[in-house]
Amino acid sequence: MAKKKKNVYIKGQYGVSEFIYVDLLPEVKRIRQFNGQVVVILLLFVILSFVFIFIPYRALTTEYEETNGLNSDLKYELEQTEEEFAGFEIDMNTINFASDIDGMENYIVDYEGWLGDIILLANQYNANIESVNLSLEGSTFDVTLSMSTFYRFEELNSTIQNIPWVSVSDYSTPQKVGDQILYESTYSLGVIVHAE
Amino acid sequence: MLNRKLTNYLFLFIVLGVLAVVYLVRSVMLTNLQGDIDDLDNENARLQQQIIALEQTVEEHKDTDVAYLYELSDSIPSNFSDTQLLYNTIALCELAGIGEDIDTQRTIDFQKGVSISGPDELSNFANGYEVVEMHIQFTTQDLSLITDFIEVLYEANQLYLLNTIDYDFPEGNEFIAVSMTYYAFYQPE
Repeated sequence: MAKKKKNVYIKGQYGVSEFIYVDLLPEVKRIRQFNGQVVVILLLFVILSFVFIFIPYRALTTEYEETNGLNSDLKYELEQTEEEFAGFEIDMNTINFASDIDGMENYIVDYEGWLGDIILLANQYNANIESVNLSLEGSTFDVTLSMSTFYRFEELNSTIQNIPWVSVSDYSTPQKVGDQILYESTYSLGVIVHAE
Repeated sequence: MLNRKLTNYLFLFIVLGVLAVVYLVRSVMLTNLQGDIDDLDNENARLQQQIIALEQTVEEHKDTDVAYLYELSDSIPSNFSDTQLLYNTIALCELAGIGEDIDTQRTIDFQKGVSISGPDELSNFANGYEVVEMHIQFTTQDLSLITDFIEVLYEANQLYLLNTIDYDFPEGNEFIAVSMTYYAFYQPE
């Protein structure tokens, strides 16, 4: 701390005081010493803000503006496409209805064609068709065939599996019919009603 | 006055405080902005999909004949009438040669509100409509009646889907019983 200055008076020989030094300025505290750390902190704040806030923020703002611009373009394009759609007077309900009908028509069973294929194979193997059972819901076509030989059922099954509309084919163990030399087996065919 | 050590600690704390403030400000500002960008990106993707779908629809259907589409309402009538359905079925049978004589023993029956359990795609289509299952039984010596009936069925204006056929092959001139079911579709009430 600086020492407090004092006013100094000297009395002359005639008794009149003479002014030597008077410090009329008010006594104030000395300004603190400049603190370098404050500058460091401010500088650090500015640099960090610039690097970690300003630069990424500016980049994101640019990206946001671009995305927003694209958004406006797309909205406008959608409006135009909707106008075009309305212009052609496309009735989606009717189109969906037509599409449903087309979809259902794919499930029209080609019964005659299927039976024709089986009859052809039956003739080839000297087999007789005993009964027919078709189910669209189960996608199955069961045919009972009879043959005079026990051993050709497996071969016939392999041939049936090669038919394009047959997805799977299996047959029951051939059973002898009465006293005749005749065996009967039911072929269960999985059918592809509507192949994509 | 603070001593030097305390000043250093204070300095360190302030530096850490500055770092924390910068981090917080950065997190808040950038997270919000990034969130907005993500939202916009999602919306843009959705808009893009809508535009593509709409353009495809326009491209596919701009030349569709509307008059043809309205004719399709015959395939799936809007009103179900049991009398009408019965008459139509009798007409189909007669056209196929399945008469109502004693030898034929024709019976016709139907069940309303049927659901089709498979195949899946057909089941999905049918879910939006009223499904009626027709059941026809008759006896015959002539198997061609079956194929004739199916042909008549598929040529009808209304959409019919054959579901089941069940019969034994005749031996000689014996009469066999034929059982058939098929679906008729109606627009929901």
